[in-house]
Amino acid sequence: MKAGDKAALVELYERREPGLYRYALHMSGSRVVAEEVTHEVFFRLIGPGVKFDPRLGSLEAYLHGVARNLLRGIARIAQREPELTEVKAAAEHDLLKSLIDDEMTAALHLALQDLTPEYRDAVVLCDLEERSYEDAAKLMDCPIGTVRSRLHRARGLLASKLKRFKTAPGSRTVVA
Amino acid sequence: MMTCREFSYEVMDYARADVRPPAELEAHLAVCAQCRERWEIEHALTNSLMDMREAFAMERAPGDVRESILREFSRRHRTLATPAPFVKWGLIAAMLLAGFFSFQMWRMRSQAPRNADSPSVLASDIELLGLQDEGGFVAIPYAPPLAPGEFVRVVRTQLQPVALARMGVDVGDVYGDEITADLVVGQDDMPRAVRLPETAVNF
Repeated sequence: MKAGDKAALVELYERREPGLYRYALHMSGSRVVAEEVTHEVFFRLIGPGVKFDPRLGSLEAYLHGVARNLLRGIARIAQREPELTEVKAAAEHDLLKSLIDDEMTAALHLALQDLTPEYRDAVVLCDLEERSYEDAAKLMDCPIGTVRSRLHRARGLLASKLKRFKTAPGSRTVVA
Repeated sequence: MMTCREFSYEVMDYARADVRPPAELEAHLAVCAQCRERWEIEHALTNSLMDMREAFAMERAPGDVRESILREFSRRHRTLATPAPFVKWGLIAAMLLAGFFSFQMWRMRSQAPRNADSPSVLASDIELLGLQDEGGFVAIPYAPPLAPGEFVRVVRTQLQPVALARMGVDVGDVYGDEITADLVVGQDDMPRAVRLPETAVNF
């Protein structure tokens, strides 16, 4: 790819883009942000100052690392500028409306956005992207035990949020 | 005996994998209401997450993201492959200069004297340096002329009186078998001038 092989980039993009885009989508809850992050990750990969070093980890881990940093940056900006958060909320609404029919799943999606990035990372990678603890640990750059413990805590938080949801008045979904 | 907290990790793993828990965990679930509830919640959560996963499974970045990246990739590599005109001409000029200097270096090396210990001068400088007058050299008759710019070197050697006589230097019968002589030798190794050191003879 460094030598200008476009076919290699196309192959890499086809292989890595779906997972990366979904990761950014779940983490941000916004299609706009997910598109921006995906674009920026690949843009940096083909740029002159690319810092990927195969001795330090896989390309996939590198791409996820760049995406995670970009998402953190965007989250920081959103905290400073509340009007952007409103835009994000509107995007979330559109996303839910177009994708999720089930009320419970929609509630789960919203509950996921309330988790801290570390907990959300664990749920997105292990449960939504079906990564093993080992793979998730590589992508999250932390020990396997930390992934399991974060996932355990995150699922506990999600469970309590969903429990509140199912007992809320007007909710039609019943959890087993 | 495992605690409820330790069991909760097992509960999560078995619920996520959607497999029947081992006997020990099943026995605990039968007697612990809290863990039983967690088991049920974990199952429900796993099902909801599975629904969510399926809902998002086909999600991909729009085609224009892909096109933009490929376009940028092509642009960057085209830029690298075809440098700007001034860069191109600069490179050509640099290559010509490098070639010229390499050639000059090669030429100087090839013309350098083979015997580093011997002094060397240009043939055209023989007169300027006074080799003929002050150096006491005698031109050897019928020797081929030196080419312009040709280097010469002075070699001290031992010669038979007969050889010296052929060069126009008659030493008579007073010397032994071999006589020390200085020769001015061209790049073709042919002698052009000869002298006898003062210690050898005055003529």
